[in-house]
Amino acid sequence: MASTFSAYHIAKSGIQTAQYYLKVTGQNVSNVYTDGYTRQRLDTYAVAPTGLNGRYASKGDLAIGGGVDASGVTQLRDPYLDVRYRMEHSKTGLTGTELDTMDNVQDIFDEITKNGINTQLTDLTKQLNTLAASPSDSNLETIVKNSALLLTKAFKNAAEQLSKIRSQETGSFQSGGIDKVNNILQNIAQLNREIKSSDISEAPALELRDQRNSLLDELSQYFDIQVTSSKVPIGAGRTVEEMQVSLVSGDKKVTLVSNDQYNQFKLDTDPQTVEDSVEDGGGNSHVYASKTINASVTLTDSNGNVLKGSDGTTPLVTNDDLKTGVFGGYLAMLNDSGEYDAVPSKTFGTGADEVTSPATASTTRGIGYYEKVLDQFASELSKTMNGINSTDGANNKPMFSNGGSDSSKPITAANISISDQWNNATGSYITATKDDELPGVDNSSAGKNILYMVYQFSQEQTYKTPEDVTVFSTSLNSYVSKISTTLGLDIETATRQNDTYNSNLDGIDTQRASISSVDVNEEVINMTAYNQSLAASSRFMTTIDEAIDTIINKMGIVGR
Amino acid sequence: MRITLGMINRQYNKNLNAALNQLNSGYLKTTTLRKFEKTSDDPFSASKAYQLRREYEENQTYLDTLDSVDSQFMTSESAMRSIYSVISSADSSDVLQGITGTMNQDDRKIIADKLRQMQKAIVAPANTKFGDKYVFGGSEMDEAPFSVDGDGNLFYRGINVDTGELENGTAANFNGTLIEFGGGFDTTDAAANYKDYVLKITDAGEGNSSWVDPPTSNLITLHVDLSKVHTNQDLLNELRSMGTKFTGLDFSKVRIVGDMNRTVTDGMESSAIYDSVSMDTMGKLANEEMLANLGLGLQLDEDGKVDSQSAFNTSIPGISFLGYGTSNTDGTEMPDNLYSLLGKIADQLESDDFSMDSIQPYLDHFSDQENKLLSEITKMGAKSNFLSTLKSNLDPMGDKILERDQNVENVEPEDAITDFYMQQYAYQAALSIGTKIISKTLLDFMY
Repeated sequence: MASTFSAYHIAKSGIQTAQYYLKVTGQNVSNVYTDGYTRQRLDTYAVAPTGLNGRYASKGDLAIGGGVDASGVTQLRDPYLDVRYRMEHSKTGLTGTELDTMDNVQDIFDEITKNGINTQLTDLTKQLNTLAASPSDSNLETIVKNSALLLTKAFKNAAEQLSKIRSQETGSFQSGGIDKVNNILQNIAQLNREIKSSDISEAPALELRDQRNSLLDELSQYFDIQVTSSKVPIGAGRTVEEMQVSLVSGDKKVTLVSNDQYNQFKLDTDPQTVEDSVEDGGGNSHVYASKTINASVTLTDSNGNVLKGSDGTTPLVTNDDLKTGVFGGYLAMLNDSGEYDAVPSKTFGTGADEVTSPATASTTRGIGYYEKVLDQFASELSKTMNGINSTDGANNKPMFSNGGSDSSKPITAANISISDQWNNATGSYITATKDDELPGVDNSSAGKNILYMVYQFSQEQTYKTPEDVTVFSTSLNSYVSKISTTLGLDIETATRQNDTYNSNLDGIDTQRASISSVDVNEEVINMTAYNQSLAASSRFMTTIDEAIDTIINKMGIVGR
Repeated sequence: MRITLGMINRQYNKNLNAALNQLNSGYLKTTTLRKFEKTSDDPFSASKAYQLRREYEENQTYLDTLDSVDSQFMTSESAMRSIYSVISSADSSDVLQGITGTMNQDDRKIIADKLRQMQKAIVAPANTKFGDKYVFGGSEMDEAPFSVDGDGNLFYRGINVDTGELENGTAANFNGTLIEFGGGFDTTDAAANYKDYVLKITDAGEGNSSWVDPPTSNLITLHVDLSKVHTNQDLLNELRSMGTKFTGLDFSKVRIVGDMNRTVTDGMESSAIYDSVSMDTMGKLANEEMLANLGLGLQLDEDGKVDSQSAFNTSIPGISFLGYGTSNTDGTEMPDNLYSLLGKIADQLESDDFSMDSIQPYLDHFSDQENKLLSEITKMGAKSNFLSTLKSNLDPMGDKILERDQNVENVEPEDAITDFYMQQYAYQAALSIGTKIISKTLLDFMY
């Protein structure tokens, strides 16, 4: 036989649970616009009747449930969507970073609405054309010289801006990349510790989990990550979860955070030369590719000691492991030079010892590409002009020089200058003709050779890297517009990719929001329902009370 | 799919931002009327625009050059015409046509004087200037090409047009320059005749002052400090300071013209010293070219030099129409140059043993040369015509390029404004929708 007062407990459980419901609703509503907040839900279950399987239960007893009970508060979240979101996020990190840098570089080469090297070169051609018609006119030659001087200034300006972009990007890699990630890793480890201790005391720590999820989302834009968890026993048969965050690169997995332990990234910006070599059959090593690395990232423990790989010497994490995300973007922009990194396959050694090195493919066109392509332009232009102006085939009348005293140094965009000889020249310096001298007269002013310069400016030629890889075919006249167009196309492609990745990311985020975000309408409906359920349970309490009052005070007193 | 208000809000924000972005770009287009602001906005159009802009610049350069060439030609042509009018008036009945075998010495003297006056009247237009340039100087336009010495000989750039003798005595070519010894090198003294000698530059070693070896076997070896003497200009200064070294070897009057900036190296040799040039050289001078790029499409000849056919030759060397050298008519050696010919005829008239037989070959030759001049003037006219045809091609071509460039780079104002209004409309619609979807929740309809 059921206890008389057991119905009070049912009513009490109903009232209490309705209050819990209302509290959770309140929490949801108040966090409707909190970033990273996951919708919460009260998990309840119906309490089974006591003594249902009781050995001594009498046959006539009815098994009526004991009301409702709340087992806990859980979050509505789909972990699969988190994984997808984080995978996509590293892609937008990569394209976004590359786009930012390329946009900056575009400012240097884009001459659609402003003037730069291209404009100046066109002006030089124009002045040369004019000079060709009257080569001995010293005023015209002064104009040509002035135009050439402005051209060298435009070169220097572009080179300076490029190096500024390089140092800015390096700086923002450190502050906006490395430092940020290190901070996130530290915070995740901290949160892991707090969540674990909450778990031990069986407090769910949902809000801390939200914070941690937000940090993981943020972290995932820097590189590919994998989040795993493992159960660890805490005695008395109980287990709690511990979380690990790993950096993923192909098959390689490197732990970044393991519960409350974390590693840190380190950026080294001293240029280093990396050489690839093959060994021939005779055991001789041959370097087949060498590349200057301006930024290298390694992983250290929380005390700053570089973590080594299984061989104990090479670092555990190198640039090769960071091909995606913001890190991948910065590393590509700072280290890669596109076609200039490509090395065709070469053969070393002789006879049976012969060995063929693998071909190295070209890489992303980073800042290095634009530095090299601009330097090549400066040196090709000087070589062409100096060659045409020379009368002995040995560069005896250079128009451009490297601006320094050591003439063996190559001419680059940063050092291209009007040669000292030209600056100190008497009379006409530009070789107007290379025709043979005529006896008796001065025929040095016949202008054919100047027209030859003009001609060479418009000649299409194939520009190659020092490793003999084709960069592009164009004329000196169109060189800068070629760079600008190449860059424009790269930006266009990257923008399109970035848009696609972003809209994918957005789609996944919408799906996530569909599950996890709070809807005010829904909560208002719930609020109304829970309020009514509270009222109903209270009403039930009153009803039971009246019933028991009837039993106690009114039963069996008839005729008293 | 479950939709929440937050999702709608976020989506709305994004779309509104997109609409605002478009509005901004539409506004930019109406103010700049440009299709794109950066290469990356439209790389293909940008590369086309770069190309068209360059073509337009080139077209404008050609037009500029053409204008100045055209004016120079007009000046040249009128100068040639005035020379011709002098020549044809010489050939009139008053002068040459009027010569008869019966004229007395005084009559002949009058005609001879007239002819000498006419000689002067030829030299002035032959030294015509256009701007700073002497138009008939071939490749050397800075100095008056024609000069006359005390004996009435005509010199073209210092060379006797009839004989090829140099006005300033001996000279040699050295390293892209002409070294004139200014009479310092004797060619008449049998003991010290340096004609056909070669100047050779040898390094004197650092810090040593220059010296000259005694000339032997046609070689004059100059020792100069090549650590100080780098260019022809330096060499000139060094030579001048040397002064007289041996009998008839005086460097103090040396003059060097030409490319002064070439480097001087050890062992460099000059040409053999000469005091006259061959008629072959005169022919080369008469055919000297000055090429202007008028957009005919520069090309190279088999020697790797700019092909003259692919550019416009602006040079009209004075001797090409006035004539040079001599020719032999009926056993009489006579100058081809009209100026000299006039002089010779005057000489004949003034001579005591004047006869119609002796002067006739000169008169015949004169009228041949006169016809040659006329045909040169006609050729000039043809070239001028070519220039005007070229100009009438280049002008519309430039307009066409500009139009194409504008089609690539610019938008029509009406299109830009229509687009802008459309975008404004879209933005306003987005705003008004916003107030409708954002404001209401279930709460608004309760109680």
